[in-house]
This record gives sequence, C-alpha cells and structure tokens, in this order.
Amino acid sequence: MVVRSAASAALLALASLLDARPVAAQLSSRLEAGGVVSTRDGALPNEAFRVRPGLQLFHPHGTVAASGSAWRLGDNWLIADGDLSVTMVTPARYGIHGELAGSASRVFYDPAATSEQFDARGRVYMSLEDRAGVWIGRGLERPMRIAVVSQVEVTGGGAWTKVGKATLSGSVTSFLLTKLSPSADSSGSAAACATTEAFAAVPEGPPNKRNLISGVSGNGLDCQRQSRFSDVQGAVEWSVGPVEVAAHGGYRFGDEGEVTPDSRRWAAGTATYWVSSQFAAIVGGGRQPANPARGLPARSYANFGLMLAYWPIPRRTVPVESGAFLSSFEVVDAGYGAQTIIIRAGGVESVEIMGDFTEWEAISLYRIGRDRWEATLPIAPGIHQVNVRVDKGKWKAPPGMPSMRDGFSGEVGILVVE
Amino acid sequence: VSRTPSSPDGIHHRRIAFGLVAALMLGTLPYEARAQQSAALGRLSPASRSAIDVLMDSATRIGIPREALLSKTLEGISKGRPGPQIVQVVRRYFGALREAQGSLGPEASLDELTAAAGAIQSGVDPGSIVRLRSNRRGGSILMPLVVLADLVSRGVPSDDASSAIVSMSQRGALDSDYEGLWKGVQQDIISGAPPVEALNRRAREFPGRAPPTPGRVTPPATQRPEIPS
Repeated sequence: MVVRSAASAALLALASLLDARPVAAQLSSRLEAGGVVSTRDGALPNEAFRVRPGLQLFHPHGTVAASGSAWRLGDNWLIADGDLSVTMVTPARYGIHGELAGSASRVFYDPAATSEQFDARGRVYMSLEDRAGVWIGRGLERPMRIAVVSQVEVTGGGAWTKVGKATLSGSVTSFLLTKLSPSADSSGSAAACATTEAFAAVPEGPPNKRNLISGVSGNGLDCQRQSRFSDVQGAVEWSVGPVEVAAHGGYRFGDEGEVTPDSRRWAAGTATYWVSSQFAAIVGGGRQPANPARGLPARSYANFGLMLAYWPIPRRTVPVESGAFLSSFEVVDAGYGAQTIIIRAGGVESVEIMGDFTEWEAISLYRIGRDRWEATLPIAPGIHQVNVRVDKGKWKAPPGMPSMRDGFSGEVGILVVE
Repeated sequence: VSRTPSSPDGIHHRRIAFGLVAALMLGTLPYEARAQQSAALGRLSPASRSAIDVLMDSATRIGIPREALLSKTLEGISKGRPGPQIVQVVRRYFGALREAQGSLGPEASLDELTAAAGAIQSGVDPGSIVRLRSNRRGGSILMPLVVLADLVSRGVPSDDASSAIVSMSQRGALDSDYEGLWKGVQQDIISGAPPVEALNRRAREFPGRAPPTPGRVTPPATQRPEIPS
C-alpha cells in the first residue's frame, strides 16, 4: 500500500513537474532528398542528387537554426552548403517587436565558388490585426575569400497582407558592397581591389560589365571601392488543404556596370503536396540572380524530391505573422489531473496558450506533425478562462468553445473540464 | 539476458524514498507558483499594486475568493495592459463578483461566481441568474451561465438570451442541451443568420424534458445511455 502510494505520488509529481513549467523550447526538423538540375548561362547543366537536412530550436525569445545540403555528383558526395543562425526576439508591444539575428554560412559548389560569410542584422516588425504587416531592417554581411567584396551593408523593408487563403508580400532591399584592402594585406585582395576586372560572379561577362565595384578611392596603396544595387521582390504563398504553393519574382536596379543582364529579373516557385502530416512531395524551379557577396553567378534550376518532417519547419515567404488561424482546439484527459491540449494550426512558427490554470503565463505548445500542436498541463475540473495566440499575435479565444468578453477589449474562451 | 534480483527490501526502500522526493517536489510547486505570481505582480506600479491589494482584501472580507481578482490582475499583466487600466478592470470585476454572489448566495462556488460574474459583465441581468439558480436548485448552473455569457457576447440582446436560457431551464434542460443550443446558434451565425434569430430558432427546437425526480442524481451526459429514436 505504501509502495503504491509512493509510486502514485512519484508519477503525479513527475507529471506535475513536467507539465507545470512553460514549455522551454521546441524542436523542428526537416529532411529533403531529391534531384536537382542547375545551369549557368553558356554552361552545361549539372545534375545531382541532393540531401538537405534542417533543424530548428524555437524558443519564445529566440531561435537557433542549422541547415545544409550535400550533393552527390558522380561517385562523390560534396558538402555544398551549411548555415547556422541565431535569432533573438523582443516581446511584442502594440503589435511591434524587434529581432536581432546573426548567422555563419559556407558554400562550396566548386573550388572557384567557395566562401564563408558572417551576417548580422536587426529588424523591426509591426503587424496589423494578423491581416497585414510591415518590417524594416538593416544588416551587415562579411564575406570571406571573396576577393572583390569586403562587406555588404543591407538595408530594406517590406510589407505583407493576407488575401483569402493567400499571403502576398513585397520587399525592397538595397545592397552597398564595399571593398577595403589595406596595403599590408598579403592575401592578394588589395590587388583584386585595385583591378577593375576582378569579379568572380561573372567570369564570362564582357570586360566592361565585370566591374561590379566602382568609385575607387585611396592613396594608391590602400584601396576602397563601393557599389550599390537594389532588389525589388514580390512573393505569394498559398495553402489549401494538403497543397502549398510559394512563388516569387524580382527585379534588380543598378547601373549596367553593376548588375549583369542575367541578374536583372528572376522568378521561382515551389509546390509542396503533403501526403501525410509528416511526409511531402516537392517540386520547384526557376531562376536565381547572382549573389556578388558570395561570388555566385545567376543560374536556373529545377528540383524535385520528397520531404520527411516529423516536426516540420514551416516554409514561409513572409518573415512575420502570416495571418494563420487555428482550425481546431481539443482537450483530452491525460490522467493524473492533467489535460492534453491539441491545437491544429498550419504554417505557423509558434502556438501559445495561457489561462487561469497557468496563472496567465504564456506556455508554448510542441509541434507534432505539420499542423498539430500539443501541450499537457495540469488543469483541475471546473471552468477555466483560456486564450491562445499564434506567432506572437493577438490573444484570442480558441475556436469551438463558448467565449465572453475579458474586460481588456478582447475575449476569453470558456473551457469546461469535467 | 539474466538480471541480478534486487532485495525486496531494497526496492521497497527505494520506492519509498522516490515517493518522498516526489512528494517534496510536489510540495515546492505552490511556492513556485507563488513566486511566479509575485514576479508578475512586481511589474505593476506601487500605486496599482496597492489598489489591487485593497480590492483583494475587500473581497476576502465579504467571502469572495481573492484568487478571482488575482487571476484577473495576472491576465491584464500578461496581456500587456497598463496598471491603471488593470485596476479599473479588476474593480469592475469585483463589482460583478459581488452582484454574482448576491444572486447565487454565499454558498456559491468559485466556478459559479466567476461564470456568473462573466455573464453579468457581458450584460446579463442579475435577476436572470437568480431565476436560473432557482430553476436548477441542487444542480449546476455553470453550463447555462457560460452559454448565456457567450450568446450575449455574440450580439444576442441580453433580455432575449436570458429569456431563452431561463425558459430552457424551466423545461428541464440538461448541460448537453445548452451545449447543443450553443453549437446550433454558432453554426447559424457563421452561416449568416442574425444572432437573435438564430437563438430563437434553435431554442424552439428544444422539446423540453421531464424535470429530474427529486433525490435522484442526473448522470453526466457522457454516462447516459442513448435513447433509440
């Protein structure tokens, strides 16, 4: 009898300890595998089998994400790229929140197109009732091993809105590329800076168009050059049932000497069909502009493959709230005085719940599958007031339950636990 | 695979020790919750905090659990509302709880009080709550109160909503009937029907039930056998 009581107490204690605390962080993952065909203008197409793993640890105050891809070319595997990023997010006040992000990445497509890069950026987001929003931001990119670019200042902003089941967005991003090489530099970058024909991204271009770097200054030994261009891009994301479609297109503004003709316009799209909550088929293709900071030329590509995602990382065109909605809210008895809350919300990055049973502390739900979110919490029998929110948006009454005014110009759901 | 058997006494002692540790950990949870509350209240200005303390003391003196006001305060803090607005909302809520207590009597549970206060704040007349209580004497009035508050929040005039819910309680409605009414009205409103018309139509569909025999406890809806049609 003593043993049974002790065991029961232990189980109850464990259940309470596991559930009483806010969920600290949640893991998302994705593994894509499939074929990719890539072509540069005037070059033969490259075909490869590509594997792309991705991992994301999400916390209400920040995110750590890692992703990469490995290509199989002939009999060899090649680690083509890798990226590690850390993002910190401030709490939202009046629909406005800030974000600081840093990342380190590496690309290696061939010995001539290899580089590392460190990025840092700050952004401010403002959302309007989950239906629309704007953002502005500024950042700095520091490429390594790119002979003609020392740093890139990135300034931009954008807006998004929800139209029916589609999310439309537009952005303007300005790039200021700088090459600064002291005379003491022995890596050869001073020489690259001084020459007007050194630009890895467009090796096949005519000489007068290779010079992306203009505005030479210096004393003859030190060298500083600057170049500027701007990208205007529009995107649409549409999701109906198991089908998700994302497409974008853009135009690059800049002097003829700074933007190569093959990078003036671009467009690409991806369609994803979710066979089950964790398994999807993907097909996509399009054209990418050159990325001078990475020494990458413009290219056309097509890809197709399968995606396995036990905890899917959402594919997002819009970096902030997409106006996603909760499609269902369910409470299931988990025993030991605990209830499992199950919410269906697709295409979102976070779902939180709070109520009198959490002392009104926000608790993050775990993502299980494509659009299923869960948390098990100790909830006593009786009636409880409850609110939910997605992607740090507005607190709302959950769907499928009675609600009433909360006195703070909002509503709370009324949850009855028997 | 062979396993070395442990001594039964050893297992027994380990389980007791584990149980004790677990019980101790359980015992620390209320302290942790209090610390969380204290940290949240610390975000209020001293003036707002003092006003909330006075309201909670007043509630305790007249038999209203201070937890109800504390919960409303924490809700306001979590929703990022400024201190003066939180004090104003909590003061109004205290008034609603007092009216709810007056309607339901001193024996009312915290759940009943908060449900009735929510209904009153939504615009329900306290007199309707008194009639509801007297119609369902001995039974829970939580579900009708919750549905009543929801209907008023959705735009049904308070008098129409109260009249429909009280009428259903007089005709022996069970919790499942109120739930059915709520679902039906919600569906009609989503389909475009005006809230009051949706309520009148769905309330008319309720045929009425024989009142429960005195002394017998009505089983919860989930345990009732289905009646074949």
